[in-house]
Amino acid sequence: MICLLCLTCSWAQVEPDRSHDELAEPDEQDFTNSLLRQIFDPTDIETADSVRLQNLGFSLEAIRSILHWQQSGQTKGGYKRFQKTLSEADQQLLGGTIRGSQAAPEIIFRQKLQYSGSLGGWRLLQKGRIQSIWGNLVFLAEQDPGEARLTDHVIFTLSSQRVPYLEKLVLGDFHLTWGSGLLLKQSGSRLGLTPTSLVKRTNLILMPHYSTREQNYFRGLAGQWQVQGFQGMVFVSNRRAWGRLDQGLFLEDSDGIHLPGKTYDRQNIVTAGMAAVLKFSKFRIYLASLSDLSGAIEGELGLSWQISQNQFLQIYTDGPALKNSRSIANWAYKTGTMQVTIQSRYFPDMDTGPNGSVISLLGSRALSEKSWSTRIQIRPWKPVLIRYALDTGTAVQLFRLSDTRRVLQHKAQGQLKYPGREWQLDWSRRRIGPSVPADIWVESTSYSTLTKWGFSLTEKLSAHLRYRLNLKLASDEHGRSGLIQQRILYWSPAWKGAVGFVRYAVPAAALRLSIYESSLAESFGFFTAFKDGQRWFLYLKNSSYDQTELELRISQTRDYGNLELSKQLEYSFQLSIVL
Amino acid sequence: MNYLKILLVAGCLLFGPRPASVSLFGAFEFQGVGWAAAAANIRVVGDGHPDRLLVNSALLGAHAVPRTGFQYSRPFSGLDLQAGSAVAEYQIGRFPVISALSYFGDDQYSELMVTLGTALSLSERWRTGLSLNLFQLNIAKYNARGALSISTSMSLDLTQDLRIGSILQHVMQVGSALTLPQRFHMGVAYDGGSVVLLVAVEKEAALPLEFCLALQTSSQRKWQLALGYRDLSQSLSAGWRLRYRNMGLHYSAVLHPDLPISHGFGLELFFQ
Repeated sequence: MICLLCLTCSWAQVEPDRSHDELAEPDEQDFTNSLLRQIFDPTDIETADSVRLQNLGFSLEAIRSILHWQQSGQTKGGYKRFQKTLSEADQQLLGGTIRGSQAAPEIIFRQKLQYSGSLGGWRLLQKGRIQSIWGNLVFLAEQDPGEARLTDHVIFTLSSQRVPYLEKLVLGDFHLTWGSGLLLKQSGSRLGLTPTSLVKRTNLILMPHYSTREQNYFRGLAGQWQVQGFQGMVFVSNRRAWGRLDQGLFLEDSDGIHLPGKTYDRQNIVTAGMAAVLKFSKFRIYLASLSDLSGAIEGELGLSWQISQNQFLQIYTDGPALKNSRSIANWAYKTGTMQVTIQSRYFPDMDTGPNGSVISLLGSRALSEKSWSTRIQIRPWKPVLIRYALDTGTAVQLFRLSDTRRVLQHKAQGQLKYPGREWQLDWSRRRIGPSVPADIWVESTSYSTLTKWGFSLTEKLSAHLRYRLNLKLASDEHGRSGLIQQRILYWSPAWKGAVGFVRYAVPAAALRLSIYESSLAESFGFFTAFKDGQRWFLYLKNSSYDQTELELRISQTRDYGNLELSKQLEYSFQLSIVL
Repeated sequence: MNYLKILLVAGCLLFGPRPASVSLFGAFEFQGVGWAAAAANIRVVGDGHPDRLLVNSALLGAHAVPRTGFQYSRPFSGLDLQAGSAVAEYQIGRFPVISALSYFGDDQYSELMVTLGTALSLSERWRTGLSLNLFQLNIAKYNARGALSISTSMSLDLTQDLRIGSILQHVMQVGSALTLPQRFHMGVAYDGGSVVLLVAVEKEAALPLEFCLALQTSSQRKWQLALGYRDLSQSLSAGWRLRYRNMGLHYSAVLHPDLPISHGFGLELFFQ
């Protein structure tokens, strides 16, 4: 408990709410995965190696300080000393880690009431977890607006890291991330601007399910073990899913809102699988297989090779015949000031994911796709960071006329960070075509180009006050959209507050723009602007009551084009108790 | 009628403590028109009246003072409805326990419920409650249907004056022959000394959220007044309560916009 309070206090000393790239496109799945990793697989700062620290985003200076502290006995005084030398960004990352030797059992319980103006109803969420040295007990019950039961979505999961011969055992609902996601039909990691986002450093991840996401998870038993250089995992799952049948294919309901009176098909999804990673020398071999009730067995094979200190190579495939199999290859190169990653994806088939969506990483909307991605990051000197991304893709085979589309996308980002002030400029240009299959021969008109600009300024007004300005613009052949958001954030040990206002004009759905808003703990906080309107939000959090946090959030959206819906109020209240 | 009496006596004998070693609490009232009804029928927070403890067992004290109570009412006279319950509080080891046998209905339709609730302190200020509910529904000419459910609740003292409570009624159910409506309650009680302010939200699973607001004078006094308002039903409530030595008397009235005014008297007897 003392450790927890220390962490809480140390967290309060640095600026909260800064882990989002607000100019990037919002990705709720990526947010949830990050949250799960932070909760159930926190980094132990006492044992973390340089690779893990680097993956978390620590600067090289911070990594050196942490490793030096680890080797010098991990004293409490030393921890405080190196903590003071860290930059604000590194201090925030440090706040998300734990000290394993001082971790104590804890109980966390949250209750959330959220009114959605657009859905016209309340979402009720009860969730909690009991953490002890023996493992975790996780529970969650959720009711979306319009649903008939408080327990429309229920999770009850036990996980332990103290079972003999096993590294981790999970009984209940869980998530798996295997290899590059070819086998589990996952879209893989988010294709962000960071070069490391393309590379898979960990091949086997097992996490308890602990979110309101009502699809793409397993229910059953899973175990993970590690013996010297051999890591393995096995699971069996039987989950009942809500969805609908479309041409004989079961599509799981994607939004998780089960309204009474609406008919659903329910289907048992039975899955079993096993995976292993063998490490030797500079190589890692990854093998996985998956089976359902039909008897069909699928597999995935991966090879990772640390060629040198600077170079890294990965290849994944889901079949022996490369021409007919899906495959991903990554090559990464890194120096002190530069990182480069290149990824090649080859998806020749039209296999679908568990929710019925076609795995199409780039979004060409083709049923099959081959694509390339490149990421370059340069830090010429300390306050400056430059990133560039290139994505291009096209269909392998033409199943329909729209598969003739090609995608070419450039993204660039520049960051300039000084103490107390940060600038960021983003630019992207996405060219897709032919947009209308009938116009395939009309080169000048059949391609659509979407250009986006993003600019942000973060100004530290005082030790507890920060101002943020976001400006976003988008344009294509048919029009332009714009958004400007201003936000003020205040924080102290007892209080945290934020107020923001955004004015937007978005004439078409293709030109939609998203913006981050401060939200309740463990909640996704992005708003997507569409049409002509404005929106404000107010967020307040009080932590003055020992072991208790009260959070309140109010927002209002005003749509100038539809004054009847001009006052869409949304409120959220969350009570959190931490023992 | 005889059936009801037998049930009440049997319930008291089954779930009540030994009369020789406990004090006795009695209140003749229908729960829906009881003392809690005067305060907008808020039962998630407030003083430890048995009506509230049966719904939120986390409000049970760490050590329950053993007591037994009876309640009886004829709501909406003219409809020939009857309601009643036998309630007992006692201690089993470390756990305070409340149990009750409740009946509501007439010759054609009746509901019978057995409740067993207890509380556990997770810290000095945070208590959780767990209730086991056994329901039986009887409709003339049809087979009786039953269900077993579990309700969970909690009570958190933010400060000496401020308390938060919440309930998940029938969050788990065994048996699908009878579907029990799940309810969520969350409320705050602010003790301002002479007056207690109660604010609560209640939501039956498939219905909209209802806000409830009530003012109640302190239960430390010999006399109490209560006022309440529920926004969804737009009902107003008011009541008073007098206590003298081992006796108590209360009255509550509920003004519903569509239903006739409801009056309820209660007599409370305490035996040391």
